[in-house]
Amino acid sequence: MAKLLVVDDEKNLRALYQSELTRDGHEVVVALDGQEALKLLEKEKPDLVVLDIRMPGIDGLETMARLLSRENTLPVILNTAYSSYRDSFLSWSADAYVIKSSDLTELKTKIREVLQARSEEKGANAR
Amino acid sequence: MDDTVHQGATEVVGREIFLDLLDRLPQAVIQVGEDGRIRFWSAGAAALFGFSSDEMVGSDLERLFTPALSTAGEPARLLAHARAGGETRDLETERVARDGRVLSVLLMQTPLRAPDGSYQGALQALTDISEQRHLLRQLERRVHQLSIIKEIGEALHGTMDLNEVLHLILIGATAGPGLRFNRAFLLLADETGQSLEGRLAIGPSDGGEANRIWQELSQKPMTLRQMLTRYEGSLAETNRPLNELVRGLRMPLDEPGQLLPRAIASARAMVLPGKDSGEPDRAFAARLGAPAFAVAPLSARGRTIGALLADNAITGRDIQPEDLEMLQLLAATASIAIDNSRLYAELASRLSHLEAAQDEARRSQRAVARAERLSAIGEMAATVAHDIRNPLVAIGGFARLLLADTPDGDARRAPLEVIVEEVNRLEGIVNKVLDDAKPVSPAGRAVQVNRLLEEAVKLLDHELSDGRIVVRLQLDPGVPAIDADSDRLFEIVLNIVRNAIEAMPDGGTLTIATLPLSDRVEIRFGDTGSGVPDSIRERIFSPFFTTKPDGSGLGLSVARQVVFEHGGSIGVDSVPGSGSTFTVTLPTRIEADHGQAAGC
Repeated sequence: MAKLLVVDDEKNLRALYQSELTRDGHEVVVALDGQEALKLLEKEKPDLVVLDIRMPGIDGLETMARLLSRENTLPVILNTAYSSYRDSFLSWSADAYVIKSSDLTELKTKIREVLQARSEEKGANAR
Repeated sequence: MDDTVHQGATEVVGREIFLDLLDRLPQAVIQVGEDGRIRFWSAGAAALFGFSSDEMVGSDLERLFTPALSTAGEPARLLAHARAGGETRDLETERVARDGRVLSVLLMQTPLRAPDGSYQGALQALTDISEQRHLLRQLERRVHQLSIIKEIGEALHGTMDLNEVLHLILIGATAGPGLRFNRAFLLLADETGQSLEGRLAIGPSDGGEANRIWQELSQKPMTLRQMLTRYEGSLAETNRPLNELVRGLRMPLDEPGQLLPRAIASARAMVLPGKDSGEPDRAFAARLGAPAFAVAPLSARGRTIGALLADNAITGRDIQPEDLEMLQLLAATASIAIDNSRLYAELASRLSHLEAAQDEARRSQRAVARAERLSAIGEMAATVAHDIRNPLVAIGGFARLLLADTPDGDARRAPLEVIVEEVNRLEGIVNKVLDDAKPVSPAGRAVQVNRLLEEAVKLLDHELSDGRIVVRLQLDPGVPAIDADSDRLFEIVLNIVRNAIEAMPDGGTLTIATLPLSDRVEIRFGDTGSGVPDSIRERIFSPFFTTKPDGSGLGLSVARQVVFEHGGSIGVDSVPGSGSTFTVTLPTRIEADHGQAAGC
């Protein structure tokens, strides 16, 4: 069971992701902005972060940069209403870029893929 | 001397007074007897001719006539006229002085008769008009010269085309209605202004051709303009050897002692080689194949713009001071004409550039206005769409959750399915609006890749030399201009070069090479640094990835972003320990929307 940190400033969406991803078998911790996410990083040690981009305060891309500067192997999935950030080179550090949809199939698939890839990498490195 | 001047003046006193009076007249007064011999020779006559009264009294009048007039029987005719009782007034004629000079004189003659009416000879008064004649001849020559220059000037006025102007100047220098030199050459200043180079020449290449052309011209008298029209096409052809000669001519302007600097310094036309000419002048004349040539500097607005050379290499006729004077006048007119036609051409070219720029500005202004309008609409739509998306995700997401918890056959499934379906439809609309509102890729502009690389290296000159890095540019001149945003391209070149500098902390060599491919341009940056380990090869283009303590880790990722936006690719080949080569490939033309597609 993986621990996911979901960062989104919309209360209703946090509730949705929490229900749905928990149901998908993950442990879900939520943060309402970048600041809180950075605080929770140390405490919760998540296996993967799902990041909204447009948020008050520090935005998702900057949050990602700060998260990665502390832990540069942390898998990050950008989950946003905007497709435009996909073209930003800053987004390339993310392991996946998902456009928000009421159908969470894509998000769930990406989470699985990224976690899978990471565990294979770890396995390879361990060997 | 018995019964002379006035038969009625019987008193000696009266006669002496009369003769004394004649002596005082400024004119030469001569009395001729009926036998044609001189009876009286006034002091004025002695002054004019240089013969004394003693020498001339008793001599035949014919002694004063020029051989030509004597042969033509003029002395006898003149006296016969008097014998017949005729008066002669204001006859312009010539006489010979003691020293052999031919004098122009104005003659008045009146017959002398005895009281019985018998013919006794004639009294002549001659006024020296040599000076007036000389001035008149000079004036006539001057008028003639000016009329020639005027005609050339008018012909030059008729055109603004430099080539025509040059031809007309040379035709003016050589043609019958012009200065009648055998050959003429034009040299014009090169772009440095340091020396003149031969541009155009006119003249027959040998006597045979000269005869043919001159015969043709004399048979059909033409104005200079007509000559230009008639000969413009054939001139270059017939004068080919001469023009090959002139195009090989170079005259330095700044070497003292050379003939042109001397002519310019004197600001006058001169004939060379002169008495004080050295070897260079003679060598130049020999090159032209002329014993001597005239040179007149051409200058406009205080600058030397060229030189007009002319010679008589075919006929061998000496160049007269008048010829030189004319060449000087022609050079002045020619200078103005050349300068004018150049100014005109410059003006015309600037005007057409301005017009093109104005057209371009109008077009882009319209395009910008349209783009701004569309962009405003698009932004508004995008904002609304984004604001709708989050609530839709929440509504649709929870509806799906509820639907998953609702068993088959439950009556609540149908309404939940409606919510999911409608939210799907709304999300589809939102996606479409957002897709349409995507910003267009940056407008491509023709970028000279080689020049851009040179400029980038120049900008980094200090960083490179501080890092003891030698740059070798291997730029293929066949690389075409490419469609690109030059500022962004410049930025990535800087990033890659800086990356190379950082990869060679102990100095090294950076080789930048360009290569034109069919529809792409390849740029290679090869360093002699430590190389990129395989383990991080894939990640060096990721943002925030850096192996350097003070690096931002953004340089190469920005480079990749920009290259992708331009529809290109970037890669690295590396041999650890001996260096890396970054290869950037850019298409010469950006496909519409290519940047967007590549960026995803």
